Order: sequence, then structure tokens, then C-alpha cells
Amino acid sequence: MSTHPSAEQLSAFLDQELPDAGRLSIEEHLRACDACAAHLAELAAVDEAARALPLEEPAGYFDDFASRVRGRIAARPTRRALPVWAWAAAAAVLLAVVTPLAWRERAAQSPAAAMKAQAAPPAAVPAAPAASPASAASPQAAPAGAQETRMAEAERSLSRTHGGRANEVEPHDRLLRRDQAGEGAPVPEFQASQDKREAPAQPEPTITTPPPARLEEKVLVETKPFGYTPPPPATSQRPHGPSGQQQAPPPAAAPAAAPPPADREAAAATAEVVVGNDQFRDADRAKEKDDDAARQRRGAGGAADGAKLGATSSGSVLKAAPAPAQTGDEARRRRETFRRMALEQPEGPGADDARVGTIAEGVRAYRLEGRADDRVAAERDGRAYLARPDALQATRVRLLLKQLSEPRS
Amino acid sequence: VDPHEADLLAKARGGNLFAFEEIVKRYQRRVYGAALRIVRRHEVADDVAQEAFIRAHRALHTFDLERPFGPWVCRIAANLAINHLRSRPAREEPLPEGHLETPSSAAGPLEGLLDGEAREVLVRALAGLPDEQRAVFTLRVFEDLSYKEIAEALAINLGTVMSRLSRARERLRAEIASYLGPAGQRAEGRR
Repeated sequence: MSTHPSAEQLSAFLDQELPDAGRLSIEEHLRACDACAAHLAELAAVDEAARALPLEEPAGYFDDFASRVRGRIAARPTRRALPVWAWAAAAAVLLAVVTPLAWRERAAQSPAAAMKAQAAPPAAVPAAPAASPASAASPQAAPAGAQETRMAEAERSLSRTHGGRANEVEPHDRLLRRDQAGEGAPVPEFQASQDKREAPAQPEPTITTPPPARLEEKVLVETKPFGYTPPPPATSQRPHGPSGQQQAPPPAAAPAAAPPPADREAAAATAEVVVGNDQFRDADRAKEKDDDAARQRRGAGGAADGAKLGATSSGSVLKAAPAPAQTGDEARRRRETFRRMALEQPEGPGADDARVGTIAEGVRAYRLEGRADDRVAAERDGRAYLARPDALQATRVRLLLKQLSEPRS
Repeated sequence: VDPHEADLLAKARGGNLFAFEEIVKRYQRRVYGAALRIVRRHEVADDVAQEAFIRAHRALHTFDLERPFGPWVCRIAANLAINHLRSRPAREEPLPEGHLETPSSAAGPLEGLLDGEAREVLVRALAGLPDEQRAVFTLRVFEDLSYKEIAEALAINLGTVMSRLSRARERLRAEIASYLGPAGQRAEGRR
């Protein structure tokens, strides 16, 4: 009798993955060796027993799975738009970096001029592709020297509005709307996301004007969670994702590249897999190499940080900055950049990523420094996000929120 | 390849998202199952499954419509799943108890092969496999991928596929060895 085959050989024999010579040799051995035959039979039984174990998904899970996937794809920017967005983002970054410097220099030379600039229309944040004409017509940043003055005015205005709660910082989105309407103008009351879900007849006004630069620093700690425009009625809401995306129309034209040679398919699939290898290496950097179009688009919607931060177009897991924030301040800056992105384009294709980015960076800030206000802000942002019917990354957000209660290393 | 499926894929490649939605419906259970068997958590498997389809859609223009779509998207899902497990947060998070796979109440082809206790042991043993071994085992046993396909999906070589699969099987066999007497005989009888 020939020597016993190894366990690996038996396993490969079971899978018919051995070359002919090896297979024939083992077949011959099995006819004479009851022990190896029994061993092989047990391996086969293991496979069959494993296959007999059914999976149990949550009830109704697959009811809208496909539509959720479609919605996420529809929400993604197409690669065809890349060159346009790239140019827009580049221009936005240039504005965001150069303009404040120029204003700061001018303010240093002429404080009176800087104070006068308070009355200038706000439009410091780089115009996103869908920015309003008003923002496009006012591409200058508020002077850095006037920023504190304007902030103080905003707080005074807030205290008037809210019966003297001068120490509270007005929610960011409300301030944005105030800036749209002019200082002191009444603004629609912000409603919690949950409330709005129950009362879709009173939709929150959609914010279309970029926030003024003067608010950037003040809203770092205390800001309102994201509001949202309720989806049209008759949209089913499921905890797993946004069936509301169902109404999203398909892109007018997806990339219509000519079919490549067949031998490229395997390579392409492998390339896709390799991308996955990189992107899931660390959940904090997940999908880091996601497409540049999304990055540029988000970059155009934010300040200088926005160009670096960007968010993934793939949606389910946040694409973070090239490296995780190392300090609480850095994480907070990123958080607020994401928040601005979400508020500037609340229904844009990157809004969901920006909202999740806000939460992720908030959690990171807390994990880094353990400040209670960071935790409160992250919890509040997270709750608001999870209350949204169009939350695409609820799973990730739940995991992020879970980190708030885990011991800090 | 199913001509209707090829037609749907062609339409999807031309930008018809509803056609792609139909494709998703065809393979959602399979892709989700592959992901869940590897990551062991519904919420993560949900993310992975969605992401796998999204990436497949993104790369659809490179896909040969004459080839089956299922194995391709399952490979993408498996790769995403195993890379998730390699990530730091996933490593730090404890795995749930082995309750994701529960014995079916319906009479299946192997009904009676293993009793309830043995199936529970097998479920726990599957959950206890090292991630890399479980991924290979899943792709081979549940998805019926060839060693070459598994190697491509997980970016490992054929020898590694063979050794990991063998170790996984041996480990599972050892866990349920005491229950396998009749089963082994039965499996032997079918061969």
C-alpha cells in the first residue's frame, strides 16, 4: 500500500483540485486504506453539515436591500464629472487659502476697513458646484480681524432671540440661515430630526448658501446636529438604510466604455479586490482610496481642510483624512469641516459621508482627549444621524457611537 | 450564463440602475451570506454586501458578460469581509456568540445527519475558526469557488489556500468528531 496522503492532499482531493497523477494515486490508496477513506468521508461530512446550516437574516432584511444599493449608487458622483469637480475644488481651495490671508493682511494694515467689512456679505467658504448665485457673487472671506467682532454680534443677536441665553452658541444651521436673511432676521426654528420625520408637512428650509467663515471657530464645540429635508411621503423607512433613495433617478448616462477585451476582466476584478485590501485595512481609514471625484467634490464644499478631508463616494464607511487626527483640536477642525460640508449641501451626493465624517471626527476628538463636550456633541450628532430616514451608514455610526462608551486607551 | 441576466448586466453597464437592482436581487442572499459567514455580524455583513455590489457596479464595464456574475461579486464581498476583519476595530471587537447560523427547522437534505447538539458545536467551531481559515472555507464550501478563484479573491497563493482549507476542515472535523460516526458512514455511502 502506498504512503498515506497528507490531510492537505485529502482536502484537495475532496475538492478535485489535485492534478491527475496525484488524484489517481490517492484513489488507488483509498481503495486499500480504510482509515484514509474514513478520514475523507469525515471531511466530506463536515462540508455537508456546514452547508446544512442556514443563515438567518433579520426579518424583512432583503425587502429593500436592492433598492438601497441602487440608491447608494445613484448618490455617487460619476467619474465623468471628475475633471469639472477637480477644477472646482482646486479653485475652491485656492480661494479658501489665499483669500483669508489677503484679508488678514489688509486688516492688519487698516483695522477700520476690517471692521467695515462686517457688513460685507458672507461667502468665505468655497463655492460648491451647486452654490447659490449669492455666494458666487461674493467670493471673499470675512476678514480675520473682524471675525471675533462679528461673532460677538452673532451671539448678541442670539441672546435677543432666545431670551438672554447668551452663553449658548446658536446652532450652525440656524446661523447660516440668519446670514442668508441678514443679521437679526427671524429664522425658522430648528426641529429635531425625529420631529420632522413625524411632521413632514413642515419641512426645514434647505440651506443653499455657504456659511460665513467667521463662524468656523465658534461652532467647533457646540453645534447643532445636522438637519435634513424630509423625504417625500410614502417612502418606507427601514433601519438598515435609505429606501428613500429609491426615488433617486438613475444617472443620465453611466460610463459607457466600450467592452474591454475579455482577458481584462479577471485583472479588473483583481484590481477591484486590491483596492478593497487597502481600503478596509483600518476602519478609521476605510476606503481611503475611494474615487477622487468624491474627494474633490467635498473639497469644493468645505474650507482648506475640506480639500484634504473629503468623504468617500462609496458611502458605507467613512473615508478619513490621509492620516487620523493626532490631536483633539485637529479632530475638531475636521469635524467642523465635515459639518460645514453637510450643511452646505444637505442633499448633495456627499452629504451622508460628510455627516458621518462629522461624527467620526467627533468621536476621535473624544477618544483622544476625553472631553465631555466632544462626547456630548458626538452623541448628539450620532442620534440626529440615526434618526434620518436617508442614513446610509447607520451601521458605521452605531459602531462609532459605541466607541464613546469604551475605555479610552 | 442566463441570457436574461446578461441582458440585465448589459443594461446596467449602460447606466440602467433598475436593471442592476434586478441583478442585486438575484444575488443579494448569496453575497450577504458569504459576508456574514466571514464577518459573523449582521451589521457588518450588511455594509460589506452593499459595498460589494457597489464596487461591482463601478467595475461593471470591465466585466465579461459571458461569465457568471455571482462568483465575481462574491469574491469582491469576501475580500471586503476579510479586510474588514484585518482592520484594527474589528480585531478589537469581540465576536458575537455563534448564533448567526441557526439550525433550520425545515427538513433539509441532511436532516438527521447531525443532531441539534452537534450542529451547535459545529456553529461554534465555525465561529471559532481563525478569520483567514473561515474565509477560505466559506468561499470553497459555501460559494464553491475554485482554489484559483479563492487565491485571487484573497490575494494569497494556491498553496496557502490549500493549507488553510485543510486546517479549517481538520479543525471542524476534530470539533465534531464524536458526532461524525454515522455521518461519515453516510457520506461514505454517497460517494
